[in-house]
Amino acid sequence: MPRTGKPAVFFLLFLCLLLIPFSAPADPGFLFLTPGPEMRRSGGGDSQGGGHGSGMGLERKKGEEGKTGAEGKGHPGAGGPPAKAETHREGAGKKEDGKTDTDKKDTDKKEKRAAMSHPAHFSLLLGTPPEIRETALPELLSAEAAILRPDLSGQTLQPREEGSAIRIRDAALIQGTYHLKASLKTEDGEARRYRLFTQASMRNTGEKADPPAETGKDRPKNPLPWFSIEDLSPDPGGNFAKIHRKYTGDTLPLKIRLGDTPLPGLPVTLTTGGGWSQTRTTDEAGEVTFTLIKESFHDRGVRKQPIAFYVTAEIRSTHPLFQKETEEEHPSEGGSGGPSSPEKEEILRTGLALSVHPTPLDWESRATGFYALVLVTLTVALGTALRRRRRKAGAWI
Amino acid sequence: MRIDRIRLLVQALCFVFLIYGGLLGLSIGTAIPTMSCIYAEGRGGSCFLYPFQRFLSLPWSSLFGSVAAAFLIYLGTFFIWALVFGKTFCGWICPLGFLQDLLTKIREAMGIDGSRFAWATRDRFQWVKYALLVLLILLPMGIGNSLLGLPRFTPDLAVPFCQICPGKPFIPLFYGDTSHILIDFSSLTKIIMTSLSMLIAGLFLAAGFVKRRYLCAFCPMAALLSLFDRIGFVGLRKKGEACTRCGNCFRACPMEIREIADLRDRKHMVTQDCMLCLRCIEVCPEDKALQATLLGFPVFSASAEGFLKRQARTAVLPESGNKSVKNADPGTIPSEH
Amino acid sequence: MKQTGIQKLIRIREKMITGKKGDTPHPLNPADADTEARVARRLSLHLAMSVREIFDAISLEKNRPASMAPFDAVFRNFADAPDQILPATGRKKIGIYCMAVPEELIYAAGALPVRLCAGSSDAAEAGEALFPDVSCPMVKAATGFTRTGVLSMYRDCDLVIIPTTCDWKVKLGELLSRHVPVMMLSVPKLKAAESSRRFWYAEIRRLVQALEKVTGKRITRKRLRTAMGLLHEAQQEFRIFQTLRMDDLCLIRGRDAAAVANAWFYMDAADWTHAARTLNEELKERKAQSLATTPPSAPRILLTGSPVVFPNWKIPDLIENAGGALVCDELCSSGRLLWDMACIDEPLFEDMLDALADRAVLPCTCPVFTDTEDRRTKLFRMIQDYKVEGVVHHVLKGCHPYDMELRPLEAKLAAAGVSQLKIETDYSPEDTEPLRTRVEAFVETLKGRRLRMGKSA
Repeated sequence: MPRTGKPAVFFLLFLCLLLIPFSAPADPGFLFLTPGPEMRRSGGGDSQGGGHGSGMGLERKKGEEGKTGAEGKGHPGAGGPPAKAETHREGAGKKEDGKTDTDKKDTDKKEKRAAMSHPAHFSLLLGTPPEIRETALPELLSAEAAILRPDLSGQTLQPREEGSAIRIRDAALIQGTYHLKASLKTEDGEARRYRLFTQASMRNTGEKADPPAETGKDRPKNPLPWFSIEDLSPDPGGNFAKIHRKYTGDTLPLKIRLGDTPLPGLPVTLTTGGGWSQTRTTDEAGEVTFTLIKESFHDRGVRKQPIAFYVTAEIRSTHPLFQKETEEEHPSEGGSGGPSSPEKEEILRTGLALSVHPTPLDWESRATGFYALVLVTLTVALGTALRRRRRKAGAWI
Repeated sequence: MRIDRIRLLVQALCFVFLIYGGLLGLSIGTAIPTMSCIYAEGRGGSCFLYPFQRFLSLPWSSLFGSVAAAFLIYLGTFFIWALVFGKTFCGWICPLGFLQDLLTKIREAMGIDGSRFAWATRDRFQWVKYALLVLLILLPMGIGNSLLGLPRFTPDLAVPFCQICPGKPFIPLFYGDTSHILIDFSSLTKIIMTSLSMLIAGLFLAAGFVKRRYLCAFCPMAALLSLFDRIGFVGLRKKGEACTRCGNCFRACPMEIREIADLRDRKHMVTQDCMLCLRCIEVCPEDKALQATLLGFPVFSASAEGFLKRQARTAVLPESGNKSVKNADPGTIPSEH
Repeated sequence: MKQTGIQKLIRIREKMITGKKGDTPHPLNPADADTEARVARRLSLHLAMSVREIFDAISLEKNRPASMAPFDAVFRNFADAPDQILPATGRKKIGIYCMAVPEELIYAAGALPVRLCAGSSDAAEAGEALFPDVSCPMVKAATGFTRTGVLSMYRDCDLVIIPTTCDWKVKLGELLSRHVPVMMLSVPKLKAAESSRRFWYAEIRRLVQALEKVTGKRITRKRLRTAMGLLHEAQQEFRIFQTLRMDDLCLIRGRDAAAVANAWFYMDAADWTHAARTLNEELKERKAQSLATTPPSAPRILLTGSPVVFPNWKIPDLIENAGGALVCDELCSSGRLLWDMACIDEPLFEDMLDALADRAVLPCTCPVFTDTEDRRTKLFRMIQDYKVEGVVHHVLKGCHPYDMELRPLEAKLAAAGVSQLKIETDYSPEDTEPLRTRVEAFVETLKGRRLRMGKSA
């Protein structure tokens, strides 16, 4: 994307700004799930909701769970305690949650532990990157969200109850990866229908779960062929205590799918919070790889806050694969007419929000550290040896 | 079996558990009063000080408001640990202590003579651990709040003690994680803190070959735990009238505590530096002069018999060297006349 | 007379400086040589007589443990074969004068330590000429033996190590260096200070060097460890022995117990350990058979103070012949001799040296140290452990440290209700009869006290 005509860009932006107020209801943009905002209550935090309370320096790095900022059991940062307090208050509401556990005792124990653990919070955001509206919009309340737990039990969240935040109350209870999904149907003034999808995942320490007793009993059904961006970054393996984090300079392999079918030849856009964007097209397997660029250099001091990266993709209902998928998986829905009448154009959009940390290699020097360590050790060792020799020669005898 | 062997074994087990326990999903919480480093990813329990400093760095409003209950629960957990186990954490559980003891074993195997602090030096630096304790409380507090109208400290000072603790560079090494051996150039504070960290880490390594438990003399956790010396479940009692002040205990004490040998009129011998390694009891040849107690009941007492039994197993030579002394060959001795 | 004394000292000093060893003392003139020979002959005769007298009395005793034989054999040699007191060995002999010399070092250097502290009144007489009126009989006797050469071991030593514990020993070196090579070892008098400990560690290292030079063998870590093991074995037997003496039955006479410890002076450690083990076995059997040397009515007495060295069995004999049971003693010649044990902490050479240095000085209850509390504590503990009813303070005339310490110590013991008897004497048997009266009276007092206290007799 060569930026040749700067005035032209400004002009276009200006036009957009002019147009926004008139297009009501406007293009809803994309839907994102980002970690947070549990930190904001404790007085700290940055705009990305990455769970950075006051005093969060580099130390936070290892205390954080992957990209999600969920508070794992082993590391209560500043974010832990307020969340804990909240859980206590909400303890009563917890029992209404659908639980697969049949054993009462076990359930009690788990509930207790869940109450003691720190819930993970996720916010639903809406907008076209880099402009993301952070306030909870009323339209977000109609979003549908679901959690798939590592033990394959699922939970559909009532949108009205949960608001624009998704809370995993039993976070840190089960070891493994939690998958979160959210979707939203909306329309704009030109009678176009939008289906917005997003997903997030959270790796979690905690107890290893028993194999699920009744697999997928409560597993929420996807209302539609799910339009997903899957993050193919190398998994750290079975070690769920391992910190998993994205840094600038890393590559980001993604896979785009509609339902279970990969989408080849689809343009995928990576946008940073600062507005820089890059578009690439998926290959035959529906995969695309981005490099997480360094958004800006440390011109004035070092910035260690994570940067928001957004990956977006969209397809229209005219896409052949879309028609195929809808017919195969939901023939009844197509036949019933209703809201999904064929004359209206439907747009499917999916988004993935990432928080990427500036690579510490920008300001750390491991080599210097290593040499400093060796130097100190050798100095002390030699000094002691010399002193001893001198003492043996003179002072003792 | 000699106590120090048992201790080494227990230490090794605790080390494996505390450092790798998380890989099996085991965890005993985050309020463990021992240097089980927070930076080890799969730890089975982690050091009390990291979350403690985190808590303290919260603004007053939340520390004494929404977080107060959690903070109190957290402190309570620590109190219970400290009350039940007390200083045994230092001598039997602490991973850093274990590393230092390992270095000592290596040193002994290499035949490098150990060294001791001069008494004056030892006494002069008693305040260091308390100073560190005060700093690790005050500095985080100054981050979240303005102390005495001072400007708030830079967040780079967050968890100040963890930044300089030798556990930070070394314990993650057991995961092959060398990422904590570094100098951070992002700010002046960071440069100073990381340099200090490297300095202390270097001291830790080198001092392991010079003196036993070098850094334990400066450990703020020991200062915290010493609050529980009198009321703790585990105790060390001395029967002054049985003591001959032979000084065996003082010489064997890795922490070089003089009181153990010198004081006759004191019953409770868990002093501020004591780590309850029970080495003093092992080397005490007077019956019941020293006793380790659990809830006031003696569990391990000094005895002449035990002393001799253990000594006979200490530093045993590969071949029985008795011959060389008893039947010395007179022919090899050059005549002086 | 004074003039010749000074000349003699100057000559001795020259010899010390040049480091030459006086293999045979050259008397100043033939008349002196004559005197020396006469003194030696007389000492030899009198010593043999007093030793035989002791063994004659012993032979009349019933109920004596048979395992005393190896120890008796050593002492019989004082009369029969003075050159066979020490075991026949090609090893170098290192004479030592005090407990403060760690014998482990000497064993590690491949030599045999011989403790030369002497107890013969005749030898004291022989050495008297060189001393002021009131002076330590032990030092006099040692000088007498060395001067006359009656006991060959006093002359045969390749090195005599004299720790400067008391003032007598400080000056002893000068007297002896005429006959044997002497090394002085400076003992710090203040146990509590770090500087004195460091100083003492340095002294021990100096001793190591001297021993290595004399024996021509290096004291290695291995040898030292072995030597420490050797001593530990002996100390183990000694502790068992002492524990047996704590028994309600008096299993062995106090004099024999002192003899057992005294024999350590002249025996090889391994031999002694073996003999002591046999004795301990026998004592255990006697305990099983309830075979006591004294009737249970005999009051239990503790002896403390100046050393009691063979053949000076005056005090133990007095106590036991008066009907007391000498159940323990706190003497550097017997009860304290092998009690304190060095600990091997780190198996390294320097550390073991420090351990030996500490063992030699820190637990020592000798009154030459400024610390008096250690001795007091030890006495109270012994009184408790051995169920002691009366304490006898033995003060040799001229033994100032014990004398100085006595008054405050007596006061403390009296405050605790302990019956005490102070005996001030020397090696000579002249005051035996007056002492006997006093000791008998003391024993009777103790018996009466026991009756009053309502204890079963």
